[in-house]
Amino acid sequence: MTPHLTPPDRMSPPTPTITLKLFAAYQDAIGQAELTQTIAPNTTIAALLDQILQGYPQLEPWRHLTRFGVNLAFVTADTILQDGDEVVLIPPVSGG
Amino acid sequence: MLNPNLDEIQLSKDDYERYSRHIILPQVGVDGQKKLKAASVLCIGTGGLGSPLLLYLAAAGVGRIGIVDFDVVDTSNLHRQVIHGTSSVGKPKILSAKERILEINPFCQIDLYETRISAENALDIVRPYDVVVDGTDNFPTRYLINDACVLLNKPNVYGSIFFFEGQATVFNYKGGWVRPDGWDALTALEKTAARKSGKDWNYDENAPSPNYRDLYPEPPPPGLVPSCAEGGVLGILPGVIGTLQATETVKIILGVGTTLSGRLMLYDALNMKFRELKLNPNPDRPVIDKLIDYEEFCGIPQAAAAEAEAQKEMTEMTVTDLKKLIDSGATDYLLVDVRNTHEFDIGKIPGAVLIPLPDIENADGIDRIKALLGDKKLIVHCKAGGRSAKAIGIINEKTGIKGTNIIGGILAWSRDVDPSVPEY
Repeated sequence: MTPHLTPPDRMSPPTPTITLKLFAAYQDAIGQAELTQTIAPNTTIAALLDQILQGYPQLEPWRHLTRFGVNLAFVTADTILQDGDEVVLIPPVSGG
Repeated sequence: MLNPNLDEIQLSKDDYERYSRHIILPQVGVDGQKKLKAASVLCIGTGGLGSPLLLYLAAAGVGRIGIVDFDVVDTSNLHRQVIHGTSSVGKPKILSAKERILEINPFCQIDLYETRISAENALDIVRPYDVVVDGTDNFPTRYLINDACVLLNKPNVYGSIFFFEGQATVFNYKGGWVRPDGWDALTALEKTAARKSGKDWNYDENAPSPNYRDLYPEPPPPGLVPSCAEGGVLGILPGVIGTLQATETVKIILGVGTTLSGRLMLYDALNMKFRELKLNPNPDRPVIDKLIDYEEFCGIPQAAAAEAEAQKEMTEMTVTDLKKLIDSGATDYLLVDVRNTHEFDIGKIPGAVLIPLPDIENADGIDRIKALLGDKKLIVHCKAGGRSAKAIGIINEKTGIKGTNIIGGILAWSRDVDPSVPEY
C-alpha cells in the first residue's frame, strides 16, 4: 500500500461552491437559468466572469455592461466570493 | 398633485359607487380615493407595459393621465398590447388607448402627446405630472426619462421586459438602504458574516432613492440587446410587469406601503420566480444637471455612420434579382439565412441554408459556411436586412470572404416575390 505523501483531502478546507443565476443574454447563451459551480478560494466576481466569457466568447460585448448581485444585493466586480454565495448576472434589457 | 388639500376635493355620488371596493379598504378610504382623483400620471409608451398599466390606473380613479406615443397600432402588437383591439389596427396608439380608457372610466381626464419624447420637449411634457411611468422600449428614451425626472424631482416607475424576463423598480423617489449602526467598527470577518446572514443593510423609508443611471451607468451599444420585434416576448410578460408598475404608482399616490425604491424586482416567467436585489445610489454617479443628446450618448448616430461605411463595402441584391437567380437554375452561389430556427420554421426562401447569426458570432457558423461555400459566391439574408449585414461584416472580418446582402430580407421576399410566406 502506497503511503500518503500529502495529507488526505478532508484535512484541506472545502472547495467553495457558488450558485450562479443567469438572466437575458447569459441565459440565452449558456442555455440554463441556474448553474452550480466550484471556485478557487478568494475568487472575485470579475475573475468568475472571465472564466464564463472564456467558454462563451459571444458574451464578450456584455463584459462591461453586466451588473452583479451577490446574495440579493448589487455589488462591485472586485467582491470576493464566499462558499454558498448566490451570484446573479444581470445584463441591461429595454423591452417594453 | 401628491398630498393635496383633501378638503378641496369632493367625491361625487358616482365616485362612491364606482370606487366603493377601494374606499372600504382602510389603506385607501375616502381620503385615498381623493388623492387618486387629485393625482396626475404621465405614461410614456402605450405598448406592452403601457397597456395594462393605463387600464388599471384609469380604473383605479387617477384623475388625469398623460399618454405619450407616436406609433400606430400594428397587428403584431395585439398579442401583448391589450389596450388596443383588432379594430384599432392602423390607428394612432394614443387615440386607441384613449377610447378604451374612457370606456372603462369616463371621469378620467386624458392628455395626449402624439410625439417622440426628446431632450427638446421632455421637460415640458413631464413637468405637469406627479408621477412618471416608463413604458418605453429603448435605451435612449429610458435615460432621457430618468434625467428629466431627476431634474424635475418626479418619481419614475420603471419596468422593462425581455423574452420571458422582466424588471421593475421605482427610481428617484424615496427609500433605500443604510448600513446598520456600528457597521464601520466591525472587522472584515464580521462584515462577511453580516452579509451572509442578510444583516448588512437596513431599509430606510427616507433614504435617497437610486435612479436608472445607478442601475445601468453605461448604455449598451446599439443592436446588442434585441428588441421585442427582433427577439420576441411572451405576450403575458408585460402584463405582469405593467401591473407591478401600476401598483407602485398607486402606492406612491396613496402614500401607503413600501415601494420598490432601492429594490430591483426581477421576474422569471419561465421558472415562475420573483427575486429582488438591493440597489443603492452609486456615489460616483455623474451629476445630472441638464438633458443631453441621448441618441449620441447611446452611440446611435455613430453606429449608423459605421453601418453606412460598411454598406459601401458590401454588395446588395434585391429580392426580385434573387428570384431571377434562383429561377435561372444557377449553382454558383450559396444562400445563407442567418435568422433563428423558429423564424426559419415560419417561412424560408428556396435553397436557403440556415446558419443563425449567434453561430456566426461564435465562429462555428463561419466554419460551416467555409465548408459549404467552396468557390461559390455568398448571398446572405435575414428578416429585414440588419442581421445579414452584421453577419457579412463578421464573415468578411474573420475570413476575407465578401458576401452579398438581400435588401429587406424575407419580409421583402414575402411582399414582392412570394406572398404565401407569412410576414411576422
